[in-house]
Amino acid sequence: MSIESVNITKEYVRRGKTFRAVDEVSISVPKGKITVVTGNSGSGKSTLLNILAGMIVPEGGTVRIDDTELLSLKSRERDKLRGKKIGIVPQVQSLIGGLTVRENIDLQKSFSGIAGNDGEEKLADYIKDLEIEDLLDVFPSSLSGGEMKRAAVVRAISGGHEYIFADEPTGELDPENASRIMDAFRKQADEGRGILLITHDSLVEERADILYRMEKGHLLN
Amino acid sequence: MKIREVAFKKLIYGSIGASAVFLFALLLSFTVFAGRILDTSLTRGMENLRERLGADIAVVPRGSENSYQGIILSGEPVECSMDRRLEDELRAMDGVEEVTPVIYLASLNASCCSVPIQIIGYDPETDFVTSPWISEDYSLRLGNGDLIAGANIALDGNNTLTFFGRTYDVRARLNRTGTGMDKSVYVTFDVMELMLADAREKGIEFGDGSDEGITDRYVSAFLIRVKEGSDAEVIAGRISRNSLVSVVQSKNMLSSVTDGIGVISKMLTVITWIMVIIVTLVTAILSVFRVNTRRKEWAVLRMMGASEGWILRLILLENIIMSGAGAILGIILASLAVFPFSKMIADAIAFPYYGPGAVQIIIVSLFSILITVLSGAIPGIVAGAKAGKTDCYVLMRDGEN
Repeated sequence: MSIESVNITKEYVRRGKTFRAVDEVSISVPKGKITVVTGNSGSGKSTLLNILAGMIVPEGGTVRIDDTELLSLKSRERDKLRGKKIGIVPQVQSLIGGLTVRENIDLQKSFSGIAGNDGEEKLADYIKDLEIEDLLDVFPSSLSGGEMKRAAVVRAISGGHEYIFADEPTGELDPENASRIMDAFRKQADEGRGILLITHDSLVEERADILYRMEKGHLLN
Repeated sequence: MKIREVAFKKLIYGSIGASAVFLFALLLSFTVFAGRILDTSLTRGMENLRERLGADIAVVPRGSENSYQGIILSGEPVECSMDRRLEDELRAMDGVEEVTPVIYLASLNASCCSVPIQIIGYDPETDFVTSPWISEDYSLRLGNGDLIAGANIALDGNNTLTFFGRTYDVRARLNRTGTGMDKSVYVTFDVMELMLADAREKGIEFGDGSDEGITDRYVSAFLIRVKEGSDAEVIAGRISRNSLVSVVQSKNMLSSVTDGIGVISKMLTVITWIMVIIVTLVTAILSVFRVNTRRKEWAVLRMMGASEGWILRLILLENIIMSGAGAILGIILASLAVFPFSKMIADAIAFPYYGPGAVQIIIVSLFSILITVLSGAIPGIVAGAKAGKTDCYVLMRDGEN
């Protein structure tokens, strides 16, 4: 089982000119593996991640999540499928303000339909691994960039999704914390989840099972 | 985590926009509640006046018609006198069913009198205006030396009142009517005779200033009830030919009061709806502003799996909580502004004013909350629908690479 895209194309208009951010890209994100896409800024990596997560609809191509053809679904159905199947760590700070880290995690669990203490043991391990035990009752506004990133990773993992997508998951982190996050992703992959990472970081590239490079909207093996 | 928990927590650590929604809701609720309470009080005061008026026509000394209206509407103390011999003439007129004389005497603002108020004397032999509702509502007839006090009259500890140096027992206290009756005391002509004699000693002249039997010769007004099928206007016209008197038709007085109250009522309604429109528009602008400033948050929520409906419900709930809280505080503040000062308000507007009962206050409160919450909820639905459509792409653009 995997996420498969075939010949997906996405165009944008910028200053009156149309350009292809993603140009006939076919990619597979299998379960149990860490798939990494690297590339320069503006190469189309994040657009690709958003298309595979069903957050952007491409002009052409197909995206299949396990047995479901994503692009044939209505917007609401895509949201539902994403909420159920894919946990996402965006590049930007994404913790919900006004809610503590614990409440952010609880909210993700409720969106994912995880009741009460289900999966708490495993989650406690990740909280320990990523060293956010002392941050659980802290509001995002009091966290550093690195702490926010680690909390966002735990939140994504807490949903018990089959796939985890992360955009620059080790950005703003020191090597030690970056390594902790990659260990967490490895653990997730070993538990059978499909991991897709978008990065500039050579550490992330080194830990990839499958490595792609994007250049000007094209995907290179 | 339940959506209402999220809404409450977002509001606790909320923005200026959320506080502004609360403040405008408070303002609207204050206006709606205070406006409706004033309107209801005026309407009830008018109903009481209509019930208590009793006579179709009042005949007063020439030029005293405004004083008569002042007594009836707001209890302004006045005194006037005219020859009682007119009574027989009035009684003999075609279409006149009953005639009864009344005497209006103003007490003094001096040590001889407990309070400066209007004293109304009536003739128990012919009275059809005062006695019926006193006996009906209080099951009593006034005796010599007794008086009945209006609801707003302050009594001393012994339940007595002193007028022109003489102390009288207060037999009963009237229920509040919201009219001038609340600021008057009622006595029979026997008692009035005593009072007029005492008043004369204090320098107040009534009629020709003679001592004995003055109530037989002078009165302040005649109240007339016309026969069924007779035209009060025609009778009033005939009485008006007498150059010494003026005629006040109850119908006209009620109609002028109704018109006055109608104007105030319309003004209150217009102010209320203007406020509803302003607050709804401002809340709409604030809601759109809040939605726009939280675009990243909607995108994150969509990314986490929140549906459009969930986001709409969150914003709607936030608006309902803020509007509801504002509405409740607005009602509390309006109550503090209106109820303790109702007497002052009644004096200021010079119209019959009778505050609403508990049930009406509850109905007005619920109406105020409903209007206020709707004015917050409707913009919330529109803003929520917009927020729910936020593209997760917003997140990517923030950190595009």
